[in-house]
Amino acid sequence: MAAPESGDGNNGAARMVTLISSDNTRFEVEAAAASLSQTLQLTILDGGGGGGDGIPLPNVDSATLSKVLEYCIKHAPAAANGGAPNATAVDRAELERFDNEFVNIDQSVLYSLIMAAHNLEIEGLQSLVAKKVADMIKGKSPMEIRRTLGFPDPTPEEQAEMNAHMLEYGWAYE
Amino acid sequence: MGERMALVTGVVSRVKHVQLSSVLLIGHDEDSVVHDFGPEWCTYGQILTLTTNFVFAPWCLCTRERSSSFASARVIILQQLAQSERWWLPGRVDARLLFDRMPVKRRSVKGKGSLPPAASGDRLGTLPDDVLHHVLSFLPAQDAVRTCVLAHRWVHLWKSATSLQIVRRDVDGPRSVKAVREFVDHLLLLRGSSPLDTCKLSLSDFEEDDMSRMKLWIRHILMCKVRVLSLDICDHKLLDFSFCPALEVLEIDDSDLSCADNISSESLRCLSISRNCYFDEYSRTHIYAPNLHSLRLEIGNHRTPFLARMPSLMEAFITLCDSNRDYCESTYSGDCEDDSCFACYDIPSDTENCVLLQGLSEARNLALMADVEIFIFRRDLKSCPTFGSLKYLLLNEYWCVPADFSALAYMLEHSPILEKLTLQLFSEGPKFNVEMRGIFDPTERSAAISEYLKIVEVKCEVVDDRVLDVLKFLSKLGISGN
Repeated sequence: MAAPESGDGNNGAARMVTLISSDNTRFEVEAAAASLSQTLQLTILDGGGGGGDGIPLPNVDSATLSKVLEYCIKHAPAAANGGAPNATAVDRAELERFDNEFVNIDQSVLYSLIMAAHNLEIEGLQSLVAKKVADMIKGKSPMEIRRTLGFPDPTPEEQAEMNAHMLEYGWAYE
Repeated sequence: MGERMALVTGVVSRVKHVQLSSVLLIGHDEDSVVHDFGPEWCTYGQILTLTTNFVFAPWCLCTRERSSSFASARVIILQQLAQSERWWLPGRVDARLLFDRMPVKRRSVKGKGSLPPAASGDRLGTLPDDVLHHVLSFLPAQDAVRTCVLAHRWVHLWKSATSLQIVRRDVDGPRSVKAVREFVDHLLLLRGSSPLDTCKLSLSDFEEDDMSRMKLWIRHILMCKVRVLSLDICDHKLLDFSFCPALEVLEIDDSDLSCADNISSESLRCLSISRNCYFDEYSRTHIYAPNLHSLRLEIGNHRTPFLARMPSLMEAFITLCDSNRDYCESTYSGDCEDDSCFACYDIPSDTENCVLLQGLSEARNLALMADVEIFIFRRDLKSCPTFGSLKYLLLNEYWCVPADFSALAYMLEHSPILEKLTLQLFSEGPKFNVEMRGIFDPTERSAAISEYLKIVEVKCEVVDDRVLDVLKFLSKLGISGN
């Protein structure tokens, strides 16, 4: 169905597409990896992103995009197999190990990743980063969470509001 | 007007968050409606293949109900159109439109990408609601609710999250219904009927007088149109899910199903019942889920449930363990001719006298594992089910010992399009010391066996006499090792 004139053929070598970050860095990746993004999948299915054109991603900077693509490249083969059924336990363990290390990152990078995963709609990555944030929240007191997540210290008004809510939500703290 | 065939193929999952009743394509003169796509066009996840022989301008694609959220759907569609030569477009659509909805863009027009660390203050607070809901979905309900005090934005966020985990918060946390009763009451009451996608309810310590409360909770959860429900507590007679048409996935673990006469749902696609569940000692539970695609049933205790027909079944994994109550002292394979025998009889009279196999007979992939003492499968075979759609079959030693291959032969002869058979003998796996592969010798192939059968695998720990007997049987059918 792809437009025939796009000319980057899908025979033989894997089809490549070019993604352009907000700071104009060009990334060439296999279409299969980029297609983990539901957002890009539409364009790629229609033959876009090949040759000299490239798909501009004006909201993803090159550092974030390279991280995102690292994830996509690693996960593309498993996704092509339709996920778990064909994967061996070893493959799955390897992906899990990769995922754990992948999100072991600075918070500002993590937030950029969250936004990129959200906008590009990469389901696995969305879950991975959301789970990482959840792990940072789990089992902590509100003040600990605020500190962990880098909220500024509450103003007296905010503190009063927090206290009022703590009172109202007493049932959640027993 | 220059008419041209227009064709778009794409997955319309992109518009899943958009609330709109219809889309109109409007012609050049801005007045005439060229094509009115009904609500079905906007369904989440639907593959869109539409053809229309009208030319239209992209800016005329609009909705009847203009809403801000529609803007994002519109630009995605325009992007799609702009990419395709097959669409006539009067002007170039800037691909940047695609990202119009990104909140970060508005915040960092000049900043090119990530914000400087100094501004990272409450970066979490800048994320869209659905991202934060996603984060909350990975938290036990207690932790999720407690985020309400974090900042103003978070006060009501937890109420609209579509995923709920009512579970023990940590290993030492309370697990009894009594201990969390006040919490769950508040939780459910305050979030009201806000829709749920996924819910896990896992509290194992409960007493008789907790039952009515749990029943209320589960009913409330079902009223929130939950799609995926995972339970490890269950109440008496609670398993009629027919009033919850959204329910697609149900997982039951660690539950007492002993008073459940029926587990019934027309919408259910996946059902899983673990071996820690208890069925009734005397009467048989009926499982009625005609639209099931996937079934995982481990029957540990008491009576094997009766399965009604499941025409869309893709895969089923059935395990019957030795504590199963379905045995008859008088016979090896049922049919003791004593009408009062619970095991041999007690099947709905309007069915084909089969407990499990008739219900499974339309499956594509089937795994049937049982301890040798259990006779339910042997009993079911007497009513001669045929497995017309079966392509892959996994069996254990139940079907071929002690040197009785009639059950195995029956399965092979009544699976006309079987492609692969795996025998897992005297070992539960998942790793096996010995894995053998057999192929057919075309000259010796038994005519009674599926002509599509290409692979026979035998997996075991050690090749002993019992396994050798099986190999001999296979070679009689014309299957030999390669």
